[in-house]
Amino acid sequence: MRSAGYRVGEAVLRETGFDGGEGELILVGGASGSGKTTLLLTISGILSSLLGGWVDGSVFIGGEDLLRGDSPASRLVGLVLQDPEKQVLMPTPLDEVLFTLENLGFDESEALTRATELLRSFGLFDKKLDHVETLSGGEKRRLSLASAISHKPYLVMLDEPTASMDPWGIREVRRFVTDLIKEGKTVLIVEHKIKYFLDMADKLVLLSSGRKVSEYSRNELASRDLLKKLRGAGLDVEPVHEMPESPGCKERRIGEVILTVEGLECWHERKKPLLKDVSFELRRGEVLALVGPNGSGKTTLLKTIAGFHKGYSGEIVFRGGVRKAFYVSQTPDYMFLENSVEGELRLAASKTGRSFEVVTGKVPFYEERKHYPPYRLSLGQRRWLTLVIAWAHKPDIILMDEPTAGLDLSLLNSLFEHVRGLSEGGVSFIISTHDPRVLLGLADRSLVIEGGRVKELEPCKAALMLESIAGVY
Amino acid sequence: MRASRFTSIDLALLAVAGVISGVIFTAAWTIYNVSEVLAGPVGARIISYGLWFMGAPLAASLLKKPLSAFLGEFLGALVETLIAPAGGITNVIYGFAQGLASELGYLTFRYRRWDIISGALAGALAGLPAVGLDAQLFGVVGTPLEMSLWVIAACVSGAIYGAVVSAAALSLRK
Amino acid sequence: MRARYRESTLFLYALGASLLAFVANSVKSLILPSLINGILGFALGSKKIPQKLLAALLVLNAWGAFINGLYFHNVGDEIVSIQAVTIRSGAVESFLILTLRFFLIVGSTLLMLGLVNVRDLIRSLERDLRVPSGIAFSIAYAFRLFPLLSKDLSEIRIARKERGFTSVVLSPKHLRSILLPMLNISYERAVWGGISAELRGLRLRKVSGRKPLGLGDVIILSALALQWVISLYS
Repeated sequence: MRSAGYRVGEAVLRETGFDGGEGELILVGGASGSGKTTLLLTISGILSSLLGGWVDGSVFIGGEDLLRGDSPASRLVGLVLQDPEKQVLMPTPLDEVLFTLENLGFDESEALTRATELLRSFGLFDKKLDHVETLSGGEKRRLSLASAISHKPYLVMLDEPTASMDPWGIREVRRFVTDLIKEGKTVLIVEHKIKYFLDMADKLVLLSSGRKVSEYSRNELASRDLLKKLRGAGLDVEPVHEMPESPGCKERRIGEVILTVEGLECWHERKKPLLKDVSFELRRGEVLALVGPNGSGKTTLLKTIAGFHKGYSGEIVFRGGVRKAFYVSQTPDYMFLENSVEGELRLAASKTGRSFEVVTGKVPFYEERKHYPPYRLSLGQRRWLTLVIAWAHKPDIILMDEPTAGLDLSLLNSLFEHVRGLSEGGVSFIISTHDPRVLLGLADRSLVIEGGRVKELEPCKAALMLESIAGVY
Repeated sequence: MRASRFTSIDLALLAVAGVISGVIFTAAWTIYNVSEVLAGPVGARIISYGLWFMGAPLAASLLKKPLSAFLGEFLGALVETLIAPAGGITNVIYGFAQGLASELGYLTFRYRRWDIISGALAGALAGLPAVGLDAQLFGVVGTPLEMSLWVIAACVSGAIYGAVVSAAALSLRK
Repeated sequence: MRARYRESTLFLYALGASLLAFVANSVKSLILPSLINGILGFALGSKKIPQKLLAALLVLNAWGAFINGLYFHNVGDEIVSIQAVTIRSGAVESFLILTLRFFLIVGSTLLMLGLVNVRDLIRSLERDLRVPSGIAFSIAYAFRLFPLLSKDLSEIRIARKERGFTSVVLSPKHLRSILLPMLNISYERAVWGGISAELRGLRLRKVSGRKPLGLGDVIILSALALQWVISLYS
């Protein structure tokens, strides 16, 4: 492929080309904004057919140029999007898997057979006619994987599959990819957390600012020096335990106890408690991590402490004059009420009594982005903005729900800096996460949720536990 | 068929417009009943009727294509029927008629204006079939003066909410 | 006994029964269809729709019918007088008519909702009634989206409360401030949904294999026709 872009004359991708063979895994790595997603859209033909973009070049699959031919790439390509919520279209798992088959003209009974077989192998058969919203996060993820391959495509592409996935999910995706390769399919994974697939990859293609910068084969990838160089390029290449500068488990000066939770039980339905017998303390300036898989009750616990979830029993006691716990959702978009960054900050300043200048001073990208709608900021910038808004409300505790999902290494480090700065200023944090980087880089203590109960574990150990579940430790 | 000129993204946006308007339509029932007691039939219409006309300008402001207004309103009515059958399946009938009226609004601009003005017009026009169907279904018939007041109230309400929702949809910078 | 029927036929039934409600003008013409549909509908519908909601609907409608009768049709012989308000026969008759219409319309809708589930209905609309595939997709996607958007709404309300706003909507400006985040979030979702659909071949979709008319369809449609006849000749 020579070049491609969204607007005529404005190329987003340049000089990008590579080959992949049957049964090969090609990793495409690059920092945020390097054009990885555009690449996927181009290869699948979506860029030109749906989004009104242009491509100068060609994409050959099995001898057929996807971009010239009449039929869209549907038959040959399967795409797994980053977020199952964005991918799942139909109300029930059965319909979801049938969707592609029906579109491609499969005969009704064959489609049904394939679909039920597929659902069975992904453990979704029993729920095939349930509404997808009743599925757990893990089940939705499996559904998105299943529906991408129902038509047995030659090429399966995955867009940042581990972005918001917990280690259990990562393990499943690795297994999924391994099975595909065994079947002789070509798999293309676009990621910045390449550490999870490095051992399986046949090729690594690096993108930077829309250009293919380098290509490495499997043998080359075994070298340590190369990995170090890649780290410098902003890629997450090593699982946390191999990272050279892990800050290790250090002691920090923390203050008095400001929150005591005793015997807490949380539920959505009274008879089926999600969490039982939860007890812990939080100190001023402390960063406490809450670890567990998607769906284990982390969000519910955070919302309960913030006062938004009413289904609970037990004690939540704030001490030392502490009044406020501010909840920051995993999806920063829920927080925005205005149409510009400037508007948001003015609103925050006026509602909290802080000075506008001080508030904007906390936002490093303010000058260049102040007229942007908050939704157009990058994910990292959006997270930053919500954190600033939270801080403006002068809370004593900030409750963050999965703040690192989707952030690459550099954004992650800026976020860590921000949080550390605030905690040194006396703000306490409870951060729910399944990201080992948070545990090593930020957390003073960590609580692991297992079977509805909570157990304290040293952050380093918790991090290792997570990486081992994912299969890279 | 015209519908095939809608891209997949258009169809997805149509669904979004349908769900959001369907939810608003459902809430509108309560608002209507409450405001009828407080402000009488004319006041109630001004306050609440426009809410039921929002599906069309919403979809049209998002898609900016012919037939999107009609489909947006119709789909919203379908969603409303499934969520809370307060009006039962007559919502679908109202949605059909209101959708057509709103579509006419965009047609008068030759499908070239997709802004707050055309949104307000679309909302306003839907008031006519709404009051008309009311008269038939609920026997809400009054003197010519009363009826004209209701029509005007409904149309004004439609214009206001049509403008509000168009402005919101147009301000989405993709 | 299982009489086969197409789900979309029930849709047509509900539509036809509701149209009857528009047309029928007197208590006599309405009473039979209304009672049949009302009783069957509420009985079947209460399995799927929470009883509280049904009760609320009943109350809401009775109240609306009452006010309506009082405002617009309070003519004729005096029936009862409560303090300053005189209720006349006209109001009572109009109250009855409206209530019967309500039972007919809502009852037939509940009948439909009670007997089919939405997913099958959508498929039937596309396959049997030949609703265009693009539209059928929108309907199905809307059905998928609904609980998701409800969740969005509650999260937005949490954020609003935290930032110092009321969570209740009191004016068009408030409405706009809730619409904006909902639209923004859904917009991105819809774009990716559209991409997902396009890649999975939505454009090529052509549904075939119409389900043949069964005994059930005949029964349902004749029941509808019968009600029309009885009503119009009463």
